[in-house]
Amino acid sequence: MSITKVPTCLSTTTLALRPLLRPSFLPQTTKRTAATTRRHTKALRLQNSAVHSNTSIPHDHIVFNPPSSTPNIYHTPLKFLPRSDPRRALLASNPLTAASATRKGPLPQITGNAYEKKYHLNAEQVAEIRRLRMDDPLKWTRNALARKFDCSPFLVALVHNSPEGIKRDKARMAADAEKWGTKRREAREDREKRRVLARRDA
Amino acid sequence: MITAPMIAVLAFQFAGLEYHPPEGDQTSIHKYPLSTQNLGENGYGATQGQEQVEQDLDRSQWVQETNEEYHERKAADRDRIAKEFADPDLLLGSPSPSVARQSAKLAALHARLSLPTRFPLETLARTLVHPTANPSSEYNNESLAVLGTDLLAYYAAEHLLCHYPRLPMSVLFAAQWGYVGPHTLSAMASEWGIEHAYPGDEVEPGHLMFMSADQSPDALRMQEQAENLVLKGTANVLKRGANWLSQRDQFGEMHPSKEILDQMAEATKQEGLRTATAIDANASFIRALFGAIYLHCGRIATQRFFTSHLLSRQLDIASIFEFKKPKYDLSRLCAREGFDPPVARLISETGRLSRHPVFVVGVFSGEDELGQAAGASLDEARTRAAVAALKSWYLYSPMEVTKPSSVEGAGNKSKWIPNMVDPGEVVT
Repeated sequence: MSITKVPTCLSTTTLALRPLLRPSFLPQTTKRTAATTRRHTKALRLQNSAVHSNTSIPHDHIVFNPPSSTPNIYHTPLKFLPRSDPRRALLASNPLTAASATRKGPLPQITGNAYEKKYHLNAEQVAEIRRLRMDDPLKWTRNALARKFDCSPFLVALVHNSPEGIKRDKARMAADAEKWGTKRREAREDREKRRVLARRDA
Repeated sequence: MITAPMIAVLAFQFAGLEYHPPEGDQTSIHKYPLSTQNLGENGYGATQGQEQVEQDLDRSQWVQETNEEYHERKAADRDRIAKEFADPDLLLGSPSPSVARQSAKLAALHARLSLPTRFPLETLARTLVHPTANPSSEYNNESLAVLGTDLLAYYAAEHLLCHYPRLPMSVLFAAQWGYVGPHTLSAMASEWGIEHAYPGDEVEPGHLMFMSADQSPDALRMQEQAENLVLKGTANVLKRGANWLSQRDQFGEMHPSKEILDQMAEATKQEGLRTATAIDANASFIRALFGAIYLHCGRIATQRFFTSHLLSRQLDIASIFEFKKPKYDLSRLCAREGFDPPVARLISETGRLSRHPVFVVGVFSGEDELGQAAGASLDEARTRAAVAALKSWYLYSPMEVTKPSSVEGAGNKSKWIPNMVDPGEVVT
């Protein structure tokens, strides 16, 4: 057996032991390797993308098939360009960038609860929200008021934000946090780090 | 005479790509007084020959002195300053400007930076003297650094605002810090091979001379005291008011108030010693160099030097952004600009029930996609998509930009085209 090309990952010790590591010395289970390799190779043998094997076009042409990746933020979307920018006309005329013009079928589905803003609360209801929240902040939480008045919890916070409530919640949270063990505390800290990274999209 | 390295400096080479001799290269000494040929029309490669340099130097008295005159003058200065400081022996001084021509280090630095020929070695030597080394303002770089600071701030802010007209204030300040902040300037000085030396008359002029804060424990303590004073002053005036911006420097940081400066001066006088950190000293050298280039070689040379040494640096502005409430901000932005309210739509997903799901979410306004991102949860993907949309709004860059400074000057024929001015960032 002649080794012409030595894989760099093998150390010299392993190479020296190589004659001893013939299949007959190894446990039976490793013999499956050949079959597994063949199965995997077969599974990975994929058809070429249709873009590359399109022979219907008679003349030479450029194949433009970019790998999937998130759009570059420096390529300003059409809607964000000022009216005077010459790229508006260019992007609108290009079928690849003017997505809305060539979209086939409906838009992708909305994530979460899609809702229309109703703007249905009047002055009395707003005053009522404020009164309830001040009278019994423990019972009338943001979510409870949102359910009662059929609006979003965010709107309730806009109508009445109680600094004392926030302070109280933070104190309760801190008291709870003291009882946490290492695992839970670290998991919380990691989650907060991930949140910070998401807010920077880093 | 060895001529090979000098031949390598050719007129048609690009700015900043000339032969850069190593530090202390003796052959550069010849390059400086001999190269009187014209290298360009005006500005960077511009030389009006050695006569021009001589003319420039004729006007300034401080380089005319001989070594002996310099020392006499210094002794007189020492008597004068001794009345203000506790211990006159701590006035360390710097070498006489008359020895600059003999310094191999200075000539090599001059050639390494491809400075225009009319930029004199005497001035280059002066930019390397920090006020802590020589308190006499005729010999240190303080006055040049004041001009240089303003030039650097102007060119950096102009570049950023023309190319990214929608940058929020905080990001603009951070980007300024990235381009011309003390740490960048200090790193630049190190890359140029600037070495430090303890100040003194006998030091070889090519060294940056300053009294290092690391050298005395008293100095460190004083520095801390001074910083605390500044912090105290900052805390008092942190509220935004009408003159909020006027009290801040180019990086959005507070100027110390007059009382604080007086207190610092008082503390310095008592201790009889002024010190600087290596970063401050390095930065002061670069600032002074810019000021000196502007005075000796003019605006165009300064701008080209700025472009080749600072704007050529890569600063990833997108990584500076950090939003507290990205989804809310985007919603306010769309409302302000009259776009349809943003809606997050799920473009694709994989492994929803697995340990590592991936969701690709796009933020849409009407039918137009504003931003897209992938995340490990729907909420993360939505947040990231909103951040991407906000970044692409704020990082809009016009295709053609006319910088105000590029059309300055009497003989300038380029046409001024007004730049875009944005109404401002979204405040939530």
